[in-house]
Amino acid sequence: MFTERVLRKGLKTKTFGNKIFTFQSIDSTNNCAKAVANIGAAEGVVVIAEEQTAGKGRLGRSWQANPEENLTFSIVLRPKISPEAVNLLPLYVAVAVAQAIERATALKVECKWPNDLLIGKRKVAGILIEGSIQQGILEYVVVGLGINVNQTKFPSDLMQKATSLKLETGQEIDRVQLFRHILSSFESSYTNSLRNGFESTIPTWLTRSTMLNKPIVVSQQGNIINGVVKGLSKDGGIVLQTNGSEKTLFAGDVTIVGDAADQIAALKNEPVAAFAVTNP
Amino acid sequence: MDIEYVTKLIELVSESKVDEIEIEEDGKKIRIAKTHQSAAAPTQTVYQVAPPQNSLPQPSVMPVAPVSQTQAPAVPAAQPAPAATGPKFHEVKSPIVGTFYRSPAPEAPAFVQVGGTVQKGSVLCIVEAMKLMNEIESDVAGKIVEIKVENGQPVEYDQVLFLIEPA
Repeated sequence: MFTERVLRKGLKTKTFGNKIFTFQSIDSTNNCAKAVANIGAAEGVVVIAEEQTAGKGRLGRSWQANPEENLTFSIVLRPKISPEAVNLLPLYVAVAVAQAIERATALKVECKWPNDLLIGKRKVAGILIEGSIQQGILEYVVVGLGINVNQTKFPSDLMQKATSLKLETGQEIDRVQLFRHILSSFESSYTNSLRNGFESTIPTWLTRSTMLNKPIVVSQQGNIINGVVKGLSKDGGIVLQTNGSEKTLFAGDVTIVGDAADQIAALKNEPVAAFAVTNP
Repeated sequence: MDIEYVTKLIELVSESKVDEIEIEEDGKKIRIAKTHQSAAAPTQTVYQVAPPQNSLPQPSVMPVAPVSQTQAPAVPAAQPAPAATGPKFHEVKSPIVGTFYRSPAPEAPAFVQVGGTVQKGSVLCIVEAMKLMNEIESDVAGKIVEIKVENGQPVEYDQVLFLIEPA
């Protein structure tokens, strides 16, 4: 099991990870991080667990990960930005985590809108960000990360859609070292983005995406929109060319037409943004 | 919510300047509070589990049939006020463009119902944008008079979501 002492040893960050709550088993690291944020936990507080008994994705979808093989943790952030600027956070977090994984493993990580991380079309990490807004002011956000590190066996329905760092590199990855890499990479890009604005994420995100000029299908609460990806708007929405007009979307489950893993998901009528995430 | 989680929360509250926290999850509510009996008494941590607030049967949807003006509503508190406008009610607006959700998950109970009371800081709904789930908190204590948006619908910036009658 992780201990705070081991995780913090050699961690070269200013605030991220100054306090780390470690658990062998917890319902969800995001729930705990929200609870501590609600009672005033400082920016950079981390909650990490070997096992989540109710690990979650969006809208009640569950997140499954074998204990002792992966990384599941949440960070409390208190960025002093407007709620609209928060829209860029999912893109920013995806890029920051992709960079950290690349530095630690030399793998190439792709971004899929808005916040999925893929290696060779398969999902390697999931991100769930939850914020709290009162009177139009963002009080905090909790960034939850689930990274498939050394897990090599997935349930059969996820085998086509999921991968792990071990499956991709053929090597066991040191989870503690990876955790430190992510925290320090994340903190340095976060500090830069607070100074320069999160807009600088957009060009970086685009260079990591293979979605440009590809046809996609977006499902929004049962409403289906087809289009070709033309880029991102300045506030992070995906710009689609649909029937001669341009449309900017801020929500929906995205299926890239022509991607095998996505098509399998589409056939099964499952949201692709939810690999390793299953509907209960 | 397991015992290790609760124990750490108690530890955290004991060490912090906060006197009380309340967490609601999966219908279970936990309140952890420091009690100050007297100046001489040591700080004591109290741990309570309360039954879910919304265990009483409540209509989950607004009535479809129009209520006759002459007929007194049987359960006034649970009816949406027909003329819920004007300065009397506090408006809670959407701070962002996104999708409105009344509950944390499709099967989960709604955060609030018409007629229910809320405290300042109670979570009213989630507005999702870019897969970021933003919990919108009430900025007043009072009673929910009207919920202006259907679950799962898109909302615009500054769109009124709730009308609350301040306590």
